Amino acid sequence: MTNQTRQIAIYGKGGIGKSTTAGNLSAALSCLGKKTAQIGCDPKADSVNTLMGGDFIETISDITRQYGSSETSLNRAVYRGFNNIVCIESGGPVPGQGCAGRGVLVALDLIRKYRFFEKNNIDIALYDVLGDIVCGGFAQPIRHSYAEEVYIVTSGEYMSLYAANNIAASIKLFAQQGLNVRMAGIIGNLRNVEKEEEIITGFAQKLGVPVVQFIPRSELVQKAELQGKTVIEAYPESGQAGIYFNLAAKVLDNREMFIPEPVSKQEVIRLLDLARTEIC
Amino acid sequence: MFAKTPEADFNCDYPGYSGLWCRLIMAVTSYAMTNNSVAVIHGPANCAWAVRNFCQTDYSLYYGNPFLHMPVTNIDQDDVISGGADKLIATLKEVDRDYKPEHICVFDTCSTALIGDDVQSAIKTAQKDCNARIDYMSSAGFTTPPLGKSIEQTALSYADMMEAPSEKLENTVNILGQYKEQQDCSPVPGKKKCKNRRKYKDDASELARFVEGIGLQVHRVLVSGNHDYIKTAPQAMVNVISCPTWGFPLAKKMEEQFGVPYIKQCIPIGIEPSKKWVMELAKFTNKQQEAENFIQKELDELMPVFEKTKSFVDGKVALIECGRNSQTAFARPMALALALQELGMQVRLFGLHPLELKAKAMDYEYFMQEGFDPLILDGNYAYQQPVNIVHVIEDLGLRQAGYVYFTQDIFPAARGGVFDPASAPRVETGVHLRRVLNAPARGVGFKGAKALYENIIEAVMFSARGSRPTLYGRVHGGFYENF
Ligand SMILES: Nc1ncnc2c1ncn2[C@@H]1O[C@H](COP(=O)(O)OP(=O)(O)O)[C@@H](O)[C@H]1O
Ligand code: SF4
Ligand SMILES: [Mg+2]
Repeated sequence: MTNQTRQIAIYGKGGIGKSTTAGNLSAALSCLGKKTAQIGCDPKADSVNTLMGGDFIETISDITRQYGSSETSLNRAVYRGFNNIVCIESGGPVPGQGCAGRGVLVALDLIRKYRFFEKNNIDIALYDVLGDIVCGGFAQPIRHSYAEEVYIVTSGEYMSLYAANNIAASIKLFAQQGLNVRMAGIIGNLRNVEKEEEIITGFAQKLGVPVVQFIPRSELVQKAELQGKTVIEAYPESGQAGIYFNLAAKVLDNREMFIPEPVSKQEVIRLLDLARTEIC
Repeated sequence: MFAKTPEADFNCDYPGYSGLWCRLIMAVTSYAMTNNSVAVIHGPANCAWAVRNFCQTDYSLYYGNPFLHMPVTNIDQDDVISGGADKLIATLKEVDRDYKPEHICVFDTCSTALIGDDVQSAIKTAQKDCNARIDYMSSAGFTTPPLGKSIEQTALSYADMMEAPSEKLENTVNILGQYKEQQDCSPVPGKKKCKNRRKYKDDASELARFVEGIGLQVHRVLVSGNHDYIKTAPQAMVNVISCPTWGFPLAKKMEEQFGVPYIKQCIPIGIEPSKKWVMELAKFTNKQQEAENFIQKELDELMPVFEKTKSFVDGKVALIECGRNSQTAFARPMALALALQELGMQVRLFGLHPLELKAKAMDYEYFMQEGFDPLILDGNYAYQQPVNIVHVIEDLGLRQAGYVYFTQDIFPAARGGVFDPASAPRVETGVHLRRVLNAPARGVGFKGAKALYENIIEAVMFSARGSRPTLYGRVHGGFYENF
């Protein structure tokens, strides 16, 4: 019997730390013995940089444009990074042209069509998906038969919570449409906003989902990034690496899934206000 | 019926309603009537096939447009992801090099419009390396409102190709909403071309005869000619109109943009409408005396045929089919109805889809303003399906009463059995069969009226024969009787 691949999607506002978190999570999971794949679903195509020694890899979009959509093209787009992690970028057009969402869809279809995860015995596939769900294309990873387990990365800032809330709303909608997609929890990537943990915890409670892990802001992240590495690879003994290992262990163990209950914009603001009033 | 009909500015409320010919098809087809020009379709090859199929099977059959080359950028999924501008630029350069046209027009399609491809910028880039002038016509299928409206929008694009006139040419007239039929050209190289093989030449020639008959000159017939021909249209003193669907919007825009006045007219069929058409133009250009002389000469020739026809059909019912393709054939059935009323017939229009009625409100309003408001059968007709004429005749109790059936589609020609030309008088007035030798006429003006009268006489006399249906009718008739 072929090994069932656990497919996980990491969503969150642009620049909030999805790729950083996904890269470290992949690295930690691979160190825990799991065959891991990370698929960047962002035309920026920098998701797997820290797994690839800082290199940008050729994307599925680039390759299919040149060579057409075939299994050979797909294999051409597969790179092996740190600890033999499978690294793929869906890619997309240059900014201001074409349809990036369609690019994500095509890349994922290609992976499914050629049963890539099954053939390569992948245990865990992580989709690192661009910012907000801006159109149907970027919702692809959590549509039919792809990732059914979603983690949302957020800080305690309004825009980030706002985006997280939107993603939760999409998950709820898809669940109501009969899809199996569920939310596993929130990853709080801290930006050192005051009362940040309280804000994120309050937000998670409103949504009815757990905070899986708080990740503190650490200069090791940037230091490792400059070397083209994850914290796991560059500073495996550090406290920050320990936190990513913790996250990996929780993800591995986690069996609980939720249909989130998104809140109104007003409520997001009220949460922030509450925290601020308490500070004053 | 008009009041009951909802406004036509929507399409979402009636999904699938306007799906027969998309805007692209109408836009490219109109452009195909120009010369020394190439239409470049920015989209998937199948869009180009849809258009070419339409042009070849319909338009070349009716109007004699020769085989159409139809270059297409052949957009595929990868282009949808990364944008198709580069392919468009490359295609434009290739077309300019290989065809050496004077003019190229780019037509976009659903796929390229959905991803918001910047066609204008691509054209600007390509233009630097191309000799042909390149224009753009918005034509994505999904932007199509009901078909009448899409024709209207397409017509406006031609005003964008025009230039402000450096001079005004005295006594010149543009005929809008018309094209020069190419019935004498054959799509098969070397095949014999035949001329004057019908009772009637074509609409453009008849209207041109009117213009010239009162001492004026035709400047442009639009849409036709090459780019220079279109570009210089605003030099004319006045615009007159044949088909209002194409003609009005273009005339209005030319007035706004270049100050060319227009006379509000609609396909003149029959005696009074033809007289009126000529007199209006004469008044505007101060040619009343010439016009009166011209009309008198025409009437001298026409009246005997008119009287004879009237003696055949006076008091009978005229069943006027607006046709499966009613969307493009509304003004004409109305104009035809007016001409038949002159013959003393009781006119009944049917097969007109209510939504198209509003989409072509300007045609309808024109006749309403003229005080002409014929009976339109408000039936439960499936859109773009042929109406069973046998049912219509029975519903109206006409079998004994006497009627003449004016068909708009090729469809009834296939009918036989109970309903056969040998027993039921019918006159083909649609666009179909136009290139067929001695096909029935469908015309405007005095000459068109004469051809129409002759056809009516023939149809009535032939139906009185009461003989067995034709072999074709006997073989195929049963099938159509049961549809
Ligand atoms: N926990 C953290 N501590 C310090 N810097 C971080 C942390 N998480 C992310 N960053 C920094 O934030 C920037 C954006 O992160 P990235 O993972 O690329 O965001 P995203 O993928 O969500 O767009 C990166 O340059 C990264 O170094
Ligand atoms: S433009 Fe759109 S509607 Fe028209 S043929 Fe192409 S895909 Fe179809
Ligand atoms: Mg990223």
